[in-house]
Amino acid sequence: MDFILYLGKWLASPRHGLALWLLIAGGLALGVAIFLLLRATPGRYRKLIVMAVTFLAGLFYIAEFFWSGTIFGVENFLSPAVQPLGDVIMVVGSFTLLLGVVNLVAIHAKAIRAVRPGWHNSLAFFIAMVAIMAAGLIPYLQEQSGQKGSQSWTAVYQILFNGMLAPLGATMFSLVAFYIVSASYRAFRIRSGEATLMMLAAFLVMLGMVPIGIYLTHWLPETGALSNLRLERITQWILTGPNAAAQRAIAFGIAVGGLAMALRIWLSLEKGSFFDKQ
Amino acid sequence: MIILRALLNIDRRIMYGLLCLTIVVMLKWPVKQPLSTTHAVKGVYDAVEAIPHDKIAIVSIVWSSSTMAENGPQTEAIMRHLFKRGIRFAILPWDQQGATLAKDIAEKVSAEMGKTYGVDWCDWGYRPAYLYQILPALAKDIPATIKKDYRGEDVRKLPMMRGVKTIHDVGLVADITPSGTLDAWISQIQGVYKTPIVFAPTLVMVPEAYNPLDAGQIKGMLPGLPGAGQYEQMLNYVGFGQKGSGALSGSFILIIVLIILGNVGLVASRRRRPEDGGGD
Repeated sequence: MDFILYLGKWLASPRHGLALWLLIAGGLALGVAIFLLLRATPGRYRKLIVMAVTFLAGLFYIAEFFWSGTIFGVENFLSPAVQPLGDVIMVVGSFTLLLGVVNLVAIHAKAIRAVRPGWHNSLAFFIAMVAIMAAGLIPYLQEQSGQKGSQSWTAVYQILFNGMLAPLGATMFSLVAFYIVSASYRAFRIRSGEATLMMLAAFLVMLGMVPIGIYLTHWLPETGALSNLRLERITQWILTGPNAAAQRAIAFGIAVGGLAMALRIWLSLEKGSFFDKQ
Repeated sequence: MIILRALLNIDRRIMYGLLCLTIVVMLKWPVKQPLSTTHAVKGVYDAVEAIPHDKIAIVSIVWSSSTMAENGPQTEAIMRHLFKRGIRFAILPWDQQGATLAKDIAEKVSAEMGKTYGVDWCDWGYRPAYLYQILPALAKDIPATIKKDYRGEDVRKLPMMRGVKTIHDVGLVADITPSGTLDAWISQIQGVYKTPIVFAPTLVMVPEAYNPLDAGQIKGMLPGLPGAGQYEQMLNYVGFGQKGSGALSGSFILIIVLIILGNVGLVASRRRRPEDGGGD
């Protein structure tokens, strides 16, 4: 354990210049070597290695979390390793971003090469990706090399990010509002007693969440028995009473399901695509 | 009767057009509407008021441009309140877009309120959203986990980070999110270290947040855009939370009217069933 902690601290200590690049190159070489070694390992042994690593990784967090203070006089020696492991997770997580980019590039390059229907969308993807990467990286690299970041590249980045990417993201999500209107109109029909009850609850909650609903009953007193008829009070009651009870039941169900699923993954009982393809 | 039956199947393009018109008109010409402050919003206000001056706040950003209309005003309102009280805060973004968008909001508000980067606030920079693995490390040693801010500067050297070592130096966590990150904050931070948490979800996520609120696991909640509007009202400034709540009111009223019209059409079609075999 001491060796792992020492290694963690050594890896996490700041480096600059050549030392940093050597460490990155060394890390990459080690990663590639492990990857190639795993590929060369026969399937059933590889499966065992993956199972063992998964089990140990899961065991570490469980043991660390539940080992509070000292047990039978033994201090929790796992806690100091939490921080270096957090670093590892951040590095691995950052690599998944690169994986996403590689995946997108492969798919869209294939679409352009094969001149598939809609290939021009793939071309638009490449243009957009290169443009925003250039606009973001060039001023950064200029600043890193001690120069003043180019104002025009920064302006291009602002146009691409604030002028295009952010509004496009907001627009895509706002389409949901239109579907909600259409879906609500078709779904909330008084076909049965239960459907009517649900519709009334939806009306009250919708109105009670927005200012106009609050305005409708604002003439009612703020205290006393009549205040309970104010729309926001009714909404609060629905949300904190029947809704909370139902949500709690759902949460318990999800938690039990999640626990079962976590155990299956931790103990490698879950037959995912990885082992299925072996 | 034909008109009544037509209400049963209103063309969706008409509904889309009406919704678009409602939102544009209500945003262009906002109508001042009363905003009643709920106990959930007051809880957020009180939690910010209760932060001791020797502790910092963490503003956790999980949102991106897609929910900017709701999470943006919530972020701005919380930052304004923290600045107003002189509480130092750090932005902790878990989303690539949110990292830039939240930083832009902080820069705008800090310039307006005369605050300085590194002294009154800082940005810890984007982290991949593996909260369950990163939060335990963060709780034990903040500078060792964060290391550098978004500009690549050592966070230990930032004046506002002086004396900040563990989660015990954090007086409040504000989780501003359209996704289920609250469970991670509750299980890894609030449950273990009792650090107060406030929650700012989008409106659709509100129903599921009443359990932790009821249990006291979160001190308060800003329910979507109306929540931001109520908070703005408490802070005595008019932002998009209040302006946008009018558009939201209009949209909800339109939905209710359409549902009523649909049901009128349904009842009308049922009434004519005995005579000519109509119905739904």
